[in-house]
Amino acid sequence: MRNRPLSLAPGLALAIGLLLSPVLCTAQAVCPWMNQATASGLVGAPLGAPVLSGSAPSIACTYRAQEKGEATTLEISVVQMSDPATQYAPHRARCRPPGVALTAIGNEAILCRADKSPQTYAERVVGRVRDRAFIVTVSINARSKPPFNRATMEDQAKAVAEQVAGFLF
Amino acid sequence: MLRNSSPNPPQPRSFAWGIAAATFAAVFCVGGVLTSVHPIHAQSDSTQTYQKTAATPGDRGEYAAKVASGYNYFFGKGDISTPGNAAVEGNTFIQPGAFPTAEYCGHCHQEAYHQWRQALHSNSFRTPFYRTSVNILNNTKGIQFSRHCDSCHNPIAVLSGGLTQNSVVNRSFDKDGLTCTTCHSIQKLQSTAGNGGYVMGVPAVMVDENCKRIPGEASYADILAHPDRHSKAVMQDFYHTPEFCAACHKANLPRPLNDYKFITAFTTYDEWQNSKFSQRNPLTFYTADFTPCQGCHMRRAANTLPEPGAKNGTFATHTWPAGNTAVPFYYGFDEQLSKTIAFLKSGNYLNVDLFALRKMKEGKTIAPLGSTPFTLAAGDVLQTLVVLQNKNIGHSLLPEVRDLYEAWVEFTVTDSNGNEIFHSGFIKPNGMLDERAHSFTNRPVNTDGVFVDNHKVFTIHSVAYDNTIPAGRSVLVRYEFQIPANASGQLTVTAKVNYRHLRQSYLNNVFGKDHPAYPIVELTSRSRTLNIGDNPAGPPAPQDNPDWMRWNNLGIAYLDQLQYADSIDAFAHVVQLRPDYADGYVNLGLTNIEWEQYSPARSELEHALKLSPGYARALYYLGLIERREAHSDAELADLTEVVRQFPQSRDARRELGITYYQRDDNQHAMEQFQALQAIDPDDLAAHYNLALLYRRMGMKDEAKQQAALFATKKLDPQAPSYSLSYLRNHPEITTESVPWHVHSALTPQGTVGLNDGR
Repeated sequence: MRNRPLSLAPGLALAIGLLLSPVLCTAQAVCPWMNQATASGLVGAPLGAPVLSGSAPSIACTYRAQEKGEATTLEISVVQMSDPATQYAPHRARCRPPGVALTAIGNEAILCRADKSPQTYAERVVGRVRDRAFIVTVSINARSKPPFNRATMEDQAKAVAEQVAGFLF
Repeated sequence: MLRNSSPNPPQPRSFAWGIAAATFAAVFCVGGVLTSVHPIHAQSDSTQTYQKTAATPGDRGEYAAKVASGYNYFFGKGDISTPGNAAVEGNTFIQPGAFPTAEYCGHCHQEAYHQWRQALHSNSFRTPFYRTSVNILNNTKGIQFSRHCDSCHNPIAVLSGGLTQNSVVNRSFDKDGLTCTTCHSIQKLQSTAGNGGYVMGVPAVMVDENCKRIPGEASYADILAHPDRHSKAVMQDFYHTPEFCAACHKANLPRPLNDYKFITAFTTYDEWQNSKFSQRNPLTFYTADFTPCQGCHMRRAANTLPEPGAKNGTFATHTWPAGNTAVPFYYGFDEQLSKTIAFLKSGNYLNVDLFALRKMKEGKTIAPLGSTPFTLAAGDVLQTLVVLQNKNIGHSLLPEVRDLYEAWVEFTVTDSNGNEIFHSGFIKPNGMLDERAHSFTNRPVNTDGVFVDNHKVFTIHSVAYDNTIPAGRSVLVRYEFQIPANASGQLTVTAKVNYRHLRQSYLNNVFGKDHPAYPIVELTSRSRTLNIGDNPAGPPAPQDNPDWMRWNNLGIAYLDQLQYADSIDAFAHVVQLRPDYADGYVNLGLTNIEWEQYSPARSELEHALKLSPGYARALYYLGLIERREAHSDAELADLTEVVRQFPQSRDARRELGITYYQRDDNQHAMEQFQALQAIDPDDLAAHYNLALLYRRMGMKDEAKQQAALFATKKLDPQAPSYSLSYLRNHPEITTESVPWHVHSALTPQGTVGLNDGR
């Protein structure tokens, strides 16, 4: 090998180039459970790109929209369980009683209210497909208290949950 | 160029830095990678645009261009639906929002909407039973391959370009599967090859005064002001034809899907076309009035909700009742479930005939049961001959995916105290069917000879076992048991045909093992009480066939089991009971042809023609005898007459084509095979002969195309080895695959593979 002086410049240039490369950096965060367009369509709000956390196969996606003083958030998380018989219960407990058992979403699912604060209203579905638990939460922070319909929020949470469960089957 | 001598040379420091940084950049930037650990937030301007265009009709060109820019054209530039056959006018992507929703239609069509919402068509995509299967395809081969399945299960997903990696299409429509404006927007049918063989138009609910379609929704006021224009936009004459159903109720696994070869998946349309209900096939054993698919699955009934589509107070049902109990059971659609069960039990579709008893020690057969007196004694070993007739189903039992659906015979013998003497076809505690049951299922296998029990259809290379009752035919099932030595009084013998949608192991694939038991429906049954002692003859039960038909069905069953002597004997009883019945003689002739007894076959067929001059079924078989005896002119005359009477008979077209071919009449031969191909685009004989004929006629490109189609559709000579591999490991199925097997209570394994002369 021929000796030549070491320089940081080429490597850094490559790294910076890659970081700024429009080809690579326009790649979008993709929620594996639901794309942005479908999420927006189902919750009826122009959600932004998702924020992902966790690692495969247990990944959580959070979509947010801010419109007219109202913040809408859709959280979808999926958790792989090695022993659903024992590990599902803590997930299910994220729906505090009274919940409503849902028909035809996953193996099983329950819908409950999950308000986070006096101004943040939320509907949640916790369910299971075989050995994977999923939690879907639709929340609205309505500081200006616009009129909104609980039943609509429930339908949105169920619609998202059904779509997620379909993906998990 | 310099080379490193060390296998793991130290990298120059600056390069290492660069690679580390680049790696970080790549991981950071390719946010779609599922294994990412850190929170990721990326830009979404383009997605916002898609969101808008996906939700409203908007400009199709703009939408299509944007979808096309990210679309995975895996199967060729511009090809949006392969391995499926779905097509759309304009031949490019169409916005999901271009399809008016079911809720929009349901505003006026309340009965249709109510029925559709619980029906299979509206749930064609979202059900776990389907998703489990298609998800496997998506996760192993890639979502682009699901265009094959979704050409029928989710046409909007295919045609909107949603089935591609990182799709930006709003899939809110998934819940509606085949929505109103998918079927009611189809403007044309392709061939009857299936796999989504339709051409979708741009959805419209109105036409203008010049009958030009106006895309998108219209106001209800406009529709009510011009109902005729609404009707012209959403109805087509061909919607009433079985070919409309064929677009999806026929399917194959093409090479682009499996990287192997064309494999037939299911042929429900062809089964109907070959059945007595089509009146297009001269070779059926019985005849019936013309009844298309819609005649059973879209019967008219009084509507209970407002329905502008009703005529004279009745509406063609949009519940499409058939066999699927799993979907309404899962969704809690009780109305659909009860309608499905009622449908399955209605219509005199199947006939179960406890036809005969064989007293094994005496070698004596008592037949037909009910019409013949006999005596039984404790200790007798009996073989019961059960004849199952597919009497009025316009397709096979079971149709379509026999790897998922499950029908079987449950046979029981009980003594007068209700104690079980024999039980075949029971459900085990784990929900699985007795593996020795006589089932109407199949076993597709992969290259390892393993049953593909999760519907990974793209891995299927052979079918080790496939048991069905074709439309209009019969099967014979044999059950052997011994009357206990201490028995007295009476025995009750019962044969039922049960149906479960879906097979337990597939349900386990879908849900794991912790799911409720899915419904088992008794389709039909027949019991007889046997006295230990004397059994006089008695009157038939209301559902029983007349004795001549019972013998006829037995003859048909024996014929299909290659038991020619027994078949001849059964058909001889038919003509004895019905000497005026031309088909009895045709059946004798047919059996003798199969048995290569051509001289008696000719006499019987000629006798049939005396009873019924010009009878096409007799002429067809006589034509085959004429061919064998080198009477080419007579052969030509017979088959020409059959084609004249039945121009859509695939068998007659095929044989007449061969006649012309052998007479070196290439032009006429070609015409016959082309006509055959129009009836069945997958007919192997048509491909083969057209390849030869086109070459002779100098049509080289067409010849090459037909030769290629023949090559991909013909049997892979290697395929049977996969089946044999499976059968070696599954003796219970090996036994079942022998046509004349006996289900026996007297052997430890429950069955014996050979009739061994008994």
